[in-house]
Amino acid sequence: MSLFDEIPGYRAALSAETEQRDAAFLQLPIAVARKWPRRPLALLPLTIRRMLILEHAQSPFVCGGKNAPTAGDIALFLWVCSPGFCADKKRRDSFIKSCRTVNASDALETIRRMVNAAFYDSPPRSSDGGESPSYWSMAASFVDCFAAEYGWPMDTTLDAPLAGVLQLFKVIQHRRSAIAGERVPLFNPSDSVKSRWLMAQNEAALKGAQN
Amino acid sequence: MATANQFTDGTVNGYNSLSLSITNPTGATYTSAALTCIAETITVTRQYKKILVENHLGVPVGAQYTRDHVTGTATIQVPALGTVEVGATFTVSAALGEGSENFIVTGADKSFSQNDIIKQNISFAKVLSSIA
Repeated sequence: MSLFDEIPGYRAALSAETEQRDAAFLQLPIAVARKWPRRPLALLPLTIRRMLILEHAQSPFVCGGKNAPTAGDIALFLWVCSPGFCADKKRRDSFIKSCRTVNASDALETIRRMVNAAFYDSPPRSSDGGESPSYWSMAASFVDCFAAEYGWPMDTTLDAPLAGVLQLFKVIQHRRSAIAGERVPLFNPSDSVKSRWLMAQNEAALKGAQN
Repeated sequence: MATANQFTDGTVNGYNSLSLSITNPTGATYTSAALTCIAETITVTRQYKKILVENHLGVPVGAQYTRDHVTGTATIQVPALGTVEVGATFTVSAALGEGSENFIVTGADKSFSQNDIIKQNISFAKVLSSIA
């Protein structure tokens, strides 16, 4: 029997993962229900530019934090990801005021889904937990990488959906490391299913060794 | 698009994913029991080497071909209990194109993690039954 079938839920997780990754390139509409007007609020996917704006505004959806997001945090996120987003303060205030008609739980769920989808293929880190200072913005790394690889101008990289950008970044890193003869492990979120299976196997073996 | 049997754990899989039981050497950080790991992107090199025979004037008079050492590399997913260290051993029965073979880990890179997932690159060599 293949490990894919031996590990419960693994094949289904892989299938869901493929769909999620494909969706990153399809630009499927994202919407949040409103009490009024009945037409749902349309949103655009997270991009590097929108991430930077949200980071700058200390949005708990991208910066984390212990406190539950407030209605203001939700409204700000929706504004940054709305098609009408601009630097005009009046339009921002008007949009944020209109967010009172948004279904809060639906908005919260949609935002979490958007953030999870955007970071689905974020790069792994070294297990020793070591940290090193950063010498440039995360955006600079992406802009430089895509300019060198595909000749993308800065705005193209900054405005591409992050979920797709991170997948492409992964492919580029993999190709480059293969050419350099390096082996960088690849990660799938579905590997979590394998992790749980491995833990169960190893704990059983440990118990057996102790008895 | 998702179809039933398209999945492999990596991109250049010489072999399908394998479940390996790896025993760390004495003195390793984790030695409580053999570690069950999943090997993905596993590659094994089996090649011949040529031994050239020349006469006293350096003129080629023959060549002998013999099997070289069997070596390989793999990316393994390890449990959160511990990682694999150099000197660890494992056995693979038939899955790598030969019969049952014993391997020793000759290189174990620093592990990488993402949430609860831990992966590590290892290199290994087949343990020969005798030293000529």
